[in-house]
Amino acid sequence: MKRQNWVIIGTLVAGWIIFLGQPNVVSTTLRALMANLATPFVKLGDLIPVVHSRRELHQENIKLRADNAALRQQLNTLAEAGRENFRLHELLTLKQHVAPRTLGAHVIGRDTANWWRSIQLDRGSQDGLRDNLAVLSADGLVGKIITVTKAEARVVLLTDPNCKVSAYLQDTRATGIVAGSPTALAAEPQCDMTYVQRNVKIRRGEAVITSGLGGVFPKGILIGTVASAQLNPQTGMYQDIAIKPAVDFHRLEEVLVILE
Amino acid sequence: MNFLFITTVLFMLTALQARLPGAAWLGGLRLELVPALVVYAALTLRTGGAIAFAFAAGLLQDSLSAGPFGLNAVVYATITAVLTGLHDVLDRELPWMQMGAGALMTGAATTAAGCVVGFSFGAVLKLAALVVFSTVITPAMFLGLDGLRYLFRRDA
Repeated sequence: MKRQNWVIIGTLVAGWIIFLGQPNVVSTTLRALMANLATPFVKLGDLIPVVHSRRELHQENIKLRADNAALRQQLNTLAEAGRENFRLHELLTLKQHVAPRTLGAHVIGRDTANWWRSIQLDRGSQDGLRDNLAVLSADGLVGKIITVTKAEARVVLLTDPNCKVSAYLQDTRATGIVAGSPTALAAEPQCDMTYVQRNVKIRRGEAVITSGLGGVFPKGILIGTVASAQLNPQTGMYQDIAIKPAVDFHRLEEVLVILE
Repeated sequence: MNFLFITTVLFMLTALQARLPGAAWLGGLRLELVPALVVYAALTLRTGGAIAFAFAAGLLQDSLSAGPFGLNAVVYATITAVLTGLHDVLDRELPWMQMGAGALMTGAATTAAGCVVGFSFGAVLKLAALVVFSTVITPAMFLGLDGLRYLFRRDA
């Protein structure tokens, strides 16, 4: 192979390590530029010719789905608030629960690689989105925003190992950390909950809820249900729980972004 | 060759890759088309253009992914530099040569990704499936794009 090709390879690797491999101005700007170039082509998938009346039905369907999603999330949150009220009977006053401000968005694309799990939304910074906003659907927690450009945003899914959520088991109130399972099949995504105390009795099917710790994910959002539990084989000090996510990530079409 | 043509194909394939659902019979694996196109460019374009195209293709794919930005760009460009350096011994018309290049490109990209997320039995299976798919799809990519080039060729 020619020497100049080796020089090119070395330059590319060095350039990646210095400029692109780390979050900095160069990589952020370049990522935004490439995403803005690619997004119109991704959105081309939405151009399906429909008859006028079908278009109206389709738009009404989208609106109703968004309303339904917001209402179901309120139900989940109110159920959690009711449990807290029962547990904390000494409280003299109740803090009034105010529904957070949310923004609906369509899923327009998925991760182009098979090693990471993310989705692309059709909303961006011009709509008020920014990094580290929680994203949910009618069924539960979806993930959080990791990058935002003017007109689109990328959401890392709960089933990605890079998305870590502080959570607790709804019945026993035992806490732990939920993250995507790297070994799960894409067809059957799964999360793992770790650092759960070994003496906690875990019931299959028990709901797993966000704890609100960390400041990213609000408290009380359904993550999934317990599929199985076992003692951590390496340390023996904690239990590892396999969680079946509440959200069907293959069928995600609309999501809600929590703006505050 | 018309650079605009292959760039348009790149954008369309990347968008398609972002929209395609997972194949249920492959455990939800989503088939990757961009590596085959990068191999086509590597064995068709001149060195400088091929490497630049490969780098841009990788950046485009990374911009629509949650993975480390630039990882695919560096891998695609590196393998392209290797392939262009072997232009004298590689015959782009031979299907098995195309298949080998496709397997190399995808194998390198998935290995790099595996180094980031960690290897497991499932990850190795995923890598093998993606390499096999790329081995099959690369000759088809050559057939299709060469056919389109012939169709839209400018007569002398």
